[in-house]
Amino acid sequence: MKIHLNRGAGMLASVLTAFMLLSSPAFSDEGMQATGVKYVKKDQVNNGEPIKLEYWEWSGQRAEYQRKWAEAYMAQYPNVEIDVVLQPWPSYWPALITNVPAGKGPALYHMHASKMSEFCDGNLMAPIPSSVADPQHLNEHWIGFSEGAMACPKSGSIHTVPMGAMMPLLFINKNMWDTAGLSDSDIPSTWTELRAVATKLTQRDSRGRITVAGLSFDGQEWIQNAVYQQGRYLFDATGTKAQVQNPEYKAALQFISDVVHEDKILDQEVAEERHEGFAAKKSAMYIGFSWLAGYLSANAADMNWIASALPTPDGSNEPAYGNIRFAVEAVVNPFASEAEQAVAWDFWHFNYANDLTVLEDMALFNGFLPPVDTLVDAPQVGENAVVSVLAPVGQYGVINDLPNVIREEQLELVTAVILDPSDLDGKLAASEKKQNVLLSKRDDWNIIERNYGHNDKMIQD
Amino acid sequence: MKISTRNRLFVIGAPLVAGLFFLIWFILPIGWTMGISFFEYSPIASDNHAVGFQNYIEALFEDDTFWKATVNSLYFAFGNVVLGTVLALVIANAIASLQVFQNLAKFVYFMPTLFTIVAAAVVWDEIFHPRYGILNNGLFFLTQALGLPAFPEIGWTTTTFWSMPTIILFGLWKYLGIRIIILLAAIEAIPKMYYEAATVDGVTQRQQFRYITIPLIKPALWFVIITGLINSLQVFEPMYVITEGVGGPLRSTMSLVMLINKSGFEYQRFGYAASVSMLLFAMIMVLTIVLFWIRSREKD
Amino acid sequence: MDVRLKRSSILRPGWIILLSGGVIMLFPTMWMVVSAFKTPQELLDYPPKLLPDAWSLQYLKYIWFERNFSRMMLNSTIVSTVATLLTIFSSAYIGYVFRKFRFRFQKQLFFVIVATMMIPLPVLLLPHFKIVLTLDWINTYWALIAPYALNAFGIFLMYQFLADFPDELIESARLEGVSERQIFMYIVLPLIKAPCVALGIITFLHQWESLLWPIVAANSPSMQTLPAGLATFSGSAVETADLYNPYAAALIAATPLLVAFVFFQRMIVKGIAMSGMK
Repeated sequence: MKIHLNRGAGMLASVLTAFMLLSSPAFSDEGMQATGVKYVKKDQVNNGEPIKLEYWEWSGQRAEYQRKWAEAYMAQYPNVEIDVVLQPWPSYWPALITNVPAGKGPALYHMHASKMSEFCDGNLMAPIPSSVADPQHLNEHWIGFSEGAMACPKSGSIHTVPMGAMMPLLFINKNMWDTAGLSDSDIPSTWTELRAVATKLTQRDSRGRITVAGLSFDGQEWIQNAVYQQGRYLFDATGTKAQVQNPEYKAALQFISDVVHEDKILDQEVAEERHEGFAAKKSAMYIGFSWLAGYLSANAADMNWIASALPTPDGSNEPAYGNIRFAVEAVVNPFASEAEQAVAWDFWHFNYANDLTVLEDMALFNGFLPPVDTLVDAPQVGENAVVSVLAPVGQYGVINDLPNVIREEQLELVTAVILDPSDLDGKLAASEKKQNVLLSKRDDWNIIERNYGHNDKMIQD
Repeated sequence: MKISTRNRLFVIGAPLVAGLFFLIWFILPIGWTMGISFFEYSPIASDNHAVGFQNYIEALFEDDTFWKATVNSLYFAFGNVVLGTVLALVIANAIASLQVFQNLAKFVYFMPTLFTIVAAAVVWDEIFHPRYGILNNGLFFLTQALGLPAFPEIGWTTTTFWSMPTIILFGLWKYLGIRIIILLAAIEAIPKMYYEAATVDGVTQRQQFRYITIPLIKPALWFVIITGLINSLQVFEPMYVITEGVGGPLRSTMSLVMLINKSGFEYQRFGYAASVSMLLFAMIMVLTIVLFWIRSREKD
Repeated sequence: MDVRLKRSSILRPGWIILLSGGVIMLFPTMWMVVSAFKTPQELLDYPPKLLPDAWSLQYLKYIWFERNFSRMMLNSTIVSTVATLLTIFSSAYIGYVFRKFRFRFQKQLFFVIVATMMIPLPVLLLPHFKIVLTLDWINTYWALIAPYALNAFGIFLMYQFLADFPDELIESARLEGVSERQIFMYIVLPLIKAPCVALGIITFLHQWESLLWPIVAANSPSMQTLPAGLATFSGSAVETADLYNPYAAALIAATPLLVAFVFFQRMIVKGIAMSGMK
């Protein structure tokens, strides 16, 4: 284990402990090469001259481990100063699209998958040099690359690698589950079972109002997962038109209508609370992406919850389990000075070459599947309450991060159904029309759902 | 009368400073905005091309969200200006007539303005949430206890009918203090002797309010009404924070500036955002001119 | 001050309106203050607790020490104070000249000034950025202050408040040979203290809350202002599991405003005491 010797005195004791805990030999000697290119410590960077980089982030929780990386790197190269700067989400993107092209932006900034089309188009991200990440290795071992999830829609260039992959799960409030007299064998795997247990878990007050919804979810996410589960894609083969008027989409919407208007286990008042409502014990089950685990541990530490696989129409993971999304980490600003870019890439290489950084800080900490296949079998994955559930279903995830305009229209559609169940067909038709108008405004949407590994099992049209 | 150069400089300095400042920071930008409203434009797009009047056509004839947002903005502005002006006037007058605790009263009414709107929105939800909020539940228990018909669960934030009134109330609570401060400054500038003389003559408080206060603070009152209209047609933050950026349910609280913000900074369609801005600008201009016209007629 | 509290004065409609209105205004505010001392778990609890179990200083400390808030507060104070003083002075000056003097294109210019209030703010962002970039002011206090050194709201406010300002006062000073500048500085300004203070409060508050522009124009860690820090506590960001007590941040940010408000109030009281004439 020469790793921590390299890292010098600045290394934190907690990290050392983490290294000690690693018993598997696969994580010692070959460990430092998650991106396929081993990181070798240099004598100096930037010719030993002082240099200062900014690294933007919008999440305070992530900024904490990013600062840890920066400190580790700065301990190696004392002439470098990396400043992790928190910028709030609402103004994060306006600040980037103005400052980056003007050459005033940060050297490194955290990227989000939903902004890829626009940022690719504007060349706001520097392509990854092959000396930092081996393109072939990324294609073969990293998640999403062979499917094109990380590539710019038009140029196909690669600028970022993911921190991990997130998928939806069924989160269950264990106390409520036990109180309702349910056991492990009742954990639902089909939609029918899901509705049945949700009915048992629903609590009402003396006026008959739902105070604890049996089941809640983000309506937009539900649509996407449920449509994929039935073998239907959200867009046509050209990736330029939405397909909404079909039996599968309607069934996904019908489920919501049934849950709200027939079973009466959810209503708009509770549904709008979403994951915060689950943390506040206003819903007994919640379908959410795995990052919710981090939210719960930070904000509802005393809550007793379990996670299980997302129920599907018939209990099978085929043709698909649901949506899989990627959380990408930092990208390098191509408008920064060459010296800054060089150090930024070296810092980036330093982090990403390290298996442990990739596995623990980025993936497991956030409730994500490790992004490299060599790390999926790591013992830590099996111990993680949410990632262990995701590991077996990972291959059934359909890759696509929707354009925001589409997400919003889907949410509108769901809200309309929750408020009024009538005329589903009319609502579907109107939504399809609107979605297609919005899609027609750009021609470079990154619609890659048909690169799904089990595409042969999906409905082709 | 001989006018010295220094005095002339003093007079001519004001329009010069103002002209230069507004030219740089407002006239040029609005000119630029008008220009890009004829483009499909984004500062980070590789292909910014002219589209003629297409953005305007889209807003007026194709995008139903534009009209929804227009109605919502007008709804908000009307409710906010009418209620806000009346309430601010009544409260400012009451504070001005206080013999004691005047500063405390000002403080209390200004407090909500001092807290960040994000925190205010969270607390607002704790109160107005139809199911869990203390307003609905409190009124329910109160009506029960008094033997009245049970207060129903009003969907303050979850129905398209109530969502905008709730936002209007939120806006009033958060920003009423500003109008109170302005009207108070005007009321306090009225010489006390007017009231003293009126009291001696046996004029009632109500009459004093009507025949002394209102006429003497008219300029300030018009100021509050006109700027209130202009500002509330540009409202953005209250609905943004209460609905977490969505403008829901079913876009019932999406305002025009929210649409502008979304089109520009979320969808990178700054040309479209600019065209909606120009339409909003024209709308505010027309309404403001109408107000100025009413005021000038009233003066005669 | 007359402190006779007659029984009947309590029952006056004014008192009843003020009291009930005050309770409505104050209740949510007090809730925010108290919530700053709650744990995230207590914030989520239902039914909500009015008071926290233990008055936890954890979040106030965390925000002040770990989130760069002390630096942000310094920046906010500098920017807000300078912008406010500039706005008050320039608005009073320009409003006064437009009200009491006649010059060419006066009406047109005034109309243009008022019309600038009607420009939706988000569209100013890109052009303002271009201007500040051209001037090479990115990441400077200038970038934050310059666009807000003057505004139509202030000019219009002063113009309205000067509507009834007695011309005789100005005339008699002129006859005594006082220069126009001195008339403005020593006769007019002291008498319009109340609207100046009102404008000061509003401008200061507006600057204190301004989020988008400061982050676009001056975003380096040493230049960040308070709203940037506050907004990192908003729940609308995606995929974040941040420690989330927006009230604690709000309380810290509001404290200087409370102080500023009291300070400005004192100025109002002094201003009123001086303006017993008309």
